[in-house]
This record gives sequence, C-alpha cells and structure tokens, in this order.
Amino acid sequence: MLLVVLVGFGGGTGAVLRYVVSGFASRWGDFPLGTLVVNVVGSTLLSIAVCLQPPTSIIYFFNSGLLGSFTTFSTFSYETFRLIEAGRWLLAISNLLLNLGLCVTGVFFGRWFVTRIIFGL
Amino acid sequence: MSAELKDVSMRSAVDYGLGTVILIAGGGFVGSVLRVLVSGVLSGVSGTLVVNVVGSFFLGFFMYSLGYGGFFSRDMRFFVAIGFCGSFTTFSTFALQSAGLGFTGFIVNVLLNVFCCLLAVFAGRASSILLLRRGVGWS
Repeated sequence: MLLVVLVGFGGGTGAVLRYVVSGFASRWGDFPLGTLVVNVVGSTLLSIAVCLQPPTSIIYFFNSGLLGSFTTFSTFSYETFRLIEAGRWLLAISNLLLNLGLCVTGVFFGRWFVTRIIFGL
Repeated sequence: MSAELKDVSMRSAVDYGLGTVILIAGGGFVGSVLRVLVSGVLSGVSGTLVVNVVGSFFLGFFMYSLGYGGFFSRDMRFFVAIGFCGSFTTFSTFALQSAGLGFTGFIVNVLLNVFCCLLAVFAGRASSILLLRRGVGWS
C-alpha cells in the first residue's frame, strides 16, 4: 500500500514537471519540441537511475512514479497522428525518428555515464 | 461530419494556477498507480505496450471529443489528457526496455508500439466521431 502511494506521489510530481518543462519548449514552428525534450531527458535519467541500483522505495517513487510519468507515449502518438492527419509527413517522420533515436541514445549515454564517470570503470 | 474540428493542441495556453496544478497532479497520481498495477500483471515489454496503446486510445478519444465540442469540459484536459493519459503511458520505460532487447527485438518492439499507438489514436478519433454522430453529448 505504501509503495502504491509512493508511485502515486512520484507520478503526480512527474506529471506537473512534464507540464512545466514542456511548457518552456512547447513548440518549434509546428514541431512538438516539448514532448521530445521531456522524453529524452526522462529516458536518460531513468537509465542513470536504474544503473545506480537504488533502494526499493526510491525505485517506486523516482523510477516508476516520477520518471514514468515525466515521459509520455500518448502525447507523442497523438501529436504524431495530428501531423500525419494534416499531411505534414516530414514533420511526423522527423518527430518519430528524433524521439526514438534520441531516447535510445539517452539510455546508452546514461549507462556509459554511470559506469565510466560515476563508478570510474 | 458537419461540425468543424476546433484546433485543440495539448497545451493551447500555459496556465500555472493552483487549480491546474492540482488537476494535473491528481491525474498523474491515478495514471501512474494504474500503470504500475498493469505492469504487475503483465510484466516487461507486454505491460508497457498495453498501457501505451490503451492510453493513446483514451487520449485520442478525449482530444477529438474536445475538439468537436463534445462531452468534456476544457478543464478536464488537465486531469485526463496531461495528467492521466500522460502518466499512464511512458516513453522512458519503453526506451530502456527496447535498448535491452538486441537488434531484432528492438525493431519489433519499436514498430509494435509506434504502429499500435498511432492506430489507437485513430480508433479513439473514430469512436468519438461515431458517438457524436449518434447525438451523445452533442453541445
């Protein structure tokens, strides 16, 4: 029960942070930049957090709750769908490839950062 | 469709009022708890795929209903769209899981999530239009 509450508070915090951060970089022309920024930052931070192997309560609050909510797939697919619907194929495909490419790069960067920079291996 | 789709982007105005923040945090609380409960039943990539597809359907249905002037009030956008749907679905777990799958698994997982979620938004849009045509909640 306590773990569920930890996830919930992390999730509420993550959702508000996503709203604030994506508000700073909401759009670049018609490109949905805000969602890209939160997804890349959140994926990188999750990779770092997982590699650091924190205690269970931190995993529930920060990894599952906060970072899970800070990033979003539904807004990403909705915004991509709207671009396709409007016939803006170049923007839609750029949005798709940038989210996938940069988030996965962020995951690998996070792993590298923890093993090389923090643990010095 | 006789009604025109008003442009409803995810954020038409940036509003940092206390009420807005509470609505987003409340939606985020419920969405993240439900996501973790689903991933407790369906662990790994299948759980993430399910929450992403279901969340995308709900967001598509909600946003198009709002856009066509349907059943929802604009303030519900903060609770349902940004709070609940945003937190129920996740990109960070999806990216982390995909990166750990190896090349073939990576391609399959990425294509499944992207195609199923785009299809889910389309299905949400279609459901919204169908209900509005039947006169449910037409305003």
